[in-house]
Amino acid sequence: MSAEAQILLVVGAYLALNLFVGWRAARSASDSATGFVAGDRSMGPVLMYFVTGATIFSAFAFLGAPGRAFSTGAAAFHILAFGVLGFLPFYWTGPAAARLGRRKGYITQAELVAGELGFRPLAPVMAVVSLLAFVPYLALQMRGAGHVLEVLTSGAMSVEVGAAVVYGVVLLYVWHSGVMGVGWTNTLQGLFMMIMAWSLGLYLPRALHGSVGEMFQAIDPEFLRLPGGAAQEGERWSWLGYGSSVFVMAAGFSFWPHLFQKAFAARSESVIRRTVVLYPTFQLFLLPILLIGFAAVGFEPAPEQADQVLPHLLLQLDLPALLIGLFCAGALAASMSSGDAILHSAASILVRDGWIVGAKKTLSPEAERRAVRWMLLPILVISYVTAVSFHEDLVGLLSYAYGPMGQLAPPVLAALFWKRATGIAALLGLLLGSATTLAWPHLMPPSDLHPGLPGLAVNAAVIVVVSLMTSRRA
Amino acid sequence: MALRHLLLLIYLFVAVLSLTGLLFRDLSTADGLVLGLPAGLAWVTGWAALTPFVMWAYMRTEPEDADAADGGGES
Repeated sequence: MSAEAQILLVVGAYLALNLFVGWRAARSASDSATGFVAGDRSMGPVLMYFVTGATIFSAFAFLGAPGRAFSTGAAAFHILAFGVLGFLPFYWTGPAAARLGRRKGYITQAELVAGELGFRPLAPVMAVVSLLAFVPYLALQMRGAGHVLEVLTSGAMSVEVGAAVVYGVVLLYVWHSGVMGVGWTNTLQGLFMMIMAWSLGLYLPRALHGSVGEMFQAIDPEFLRLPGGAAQEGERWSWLGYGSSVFVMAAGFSFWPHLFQKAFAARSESVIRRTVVLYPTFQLFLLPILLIGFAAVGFEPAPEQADQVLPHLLLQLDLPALLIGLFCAGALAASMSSGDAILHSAASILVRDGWIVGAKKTLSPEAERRAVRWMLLPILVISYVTAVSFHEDLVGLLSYAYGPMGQLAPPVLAALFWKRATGIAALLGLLLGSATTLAWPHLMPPSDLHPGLPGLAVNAAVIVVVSLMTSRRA
Repeated sequence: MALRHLLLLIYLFVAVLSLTGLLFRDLSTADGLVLGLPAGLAWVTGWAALTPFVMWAYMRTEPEDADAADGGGES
């Protein structure tokens, strides 16, 4: 049997296992919209840990992070830095949202904000902002899956076909089991990618350089000094760029709707708090991932694209096909664990926030569940088209998505913790903050400042000022 | 403000300033390796390793709360 066939066999077995686990998960939730979207609010600590951890660790972590370390050196440390801070707000926002969700029936972030501020138009606007970020993010996961399969099968499976096969499996288990399918597959995928990350992160520096310490000693110290290199080759990142990027990405981190929505699925508030406390243990798995990228510095032949560092190294090292297949499955786990959560969340947001809250339509629980299922299809197709036609590096694509997503933080915080906040203020803050983020690079002189930072400042200022000038609807 | 809130606030404030490079820049850009890692990487890894302990201590001092509807199993 050829090496490509063995790799595909391992990948096929892994996908089948995911489908089995995801399919069976349907038994653990009721046949209602709350069951499909929020798992009947029954997720315990194990599921919550893996759902939140694996959801965030995506194709970006497995492929983009080593690529960034390989191409920009110390700049890649910011990925670990923002992750340390990013989930902490959930310690307070998560339990507050879960409490309100249980009391008032909320199952999406936008529904909560619109409901608490008594202003329905917020829900569809937040849904649109979310979807604008979700599509490139889901496309990124698909591209990552396709990339890995293409490189490791030496082109026997193209990016397009690879992405279609992997996300066909994702569609099947999300369609059948909803959030519980996402939860149980994420547990499997999280375990798998942690094992693969640590194995490869320790093995590759040792195989190529003798040890981690020797590897770093062989690299130019300037390459390893913060804030590291810029995306443009030969230039260095400024501290302004590094610091603002860490801040904006940390601010947006726990407000991504697909992650925030898990507050509604948790069994209790203490489960959420414990998840936040334990979360950095998941974050530490980025360390071996970065080591993989540094192991490739100076390696000949160099990979053609930074994102392909890891599969490139594995192929060059002449490893057994079974091991390469297992790595491939680990990378697919990273892609699928985020992609399934985004797909599921995007569909529920469209139906709940767009149709039910925004357009004031009433659906029975069964009809709502059916509508969420059907919405999976157009979202998947649009993301797939984006994935096969958009050519940016993976981290660049993610950074674009984080800009507008960080703008959800001020309205959510205002809805949860500031009784004086008004709906119109939150809406204006969100719109002006997003507009500032998007327009900043085009209107201002070139700078390393992350455009999300002025966007956040405008957003927060508008919410405070307009709230003080208006009153909340009854 | 309760002492536990104040201490956590100070920790988070210092963490944000440190991880964005506004504080302790010399430490995070020092020459040589720390525990086999470049100073900047050891710096952010240290924060990632320390933060769960700080948050755990904060959680342990949380006043008893009803934590409504704490029923149901891992399903």
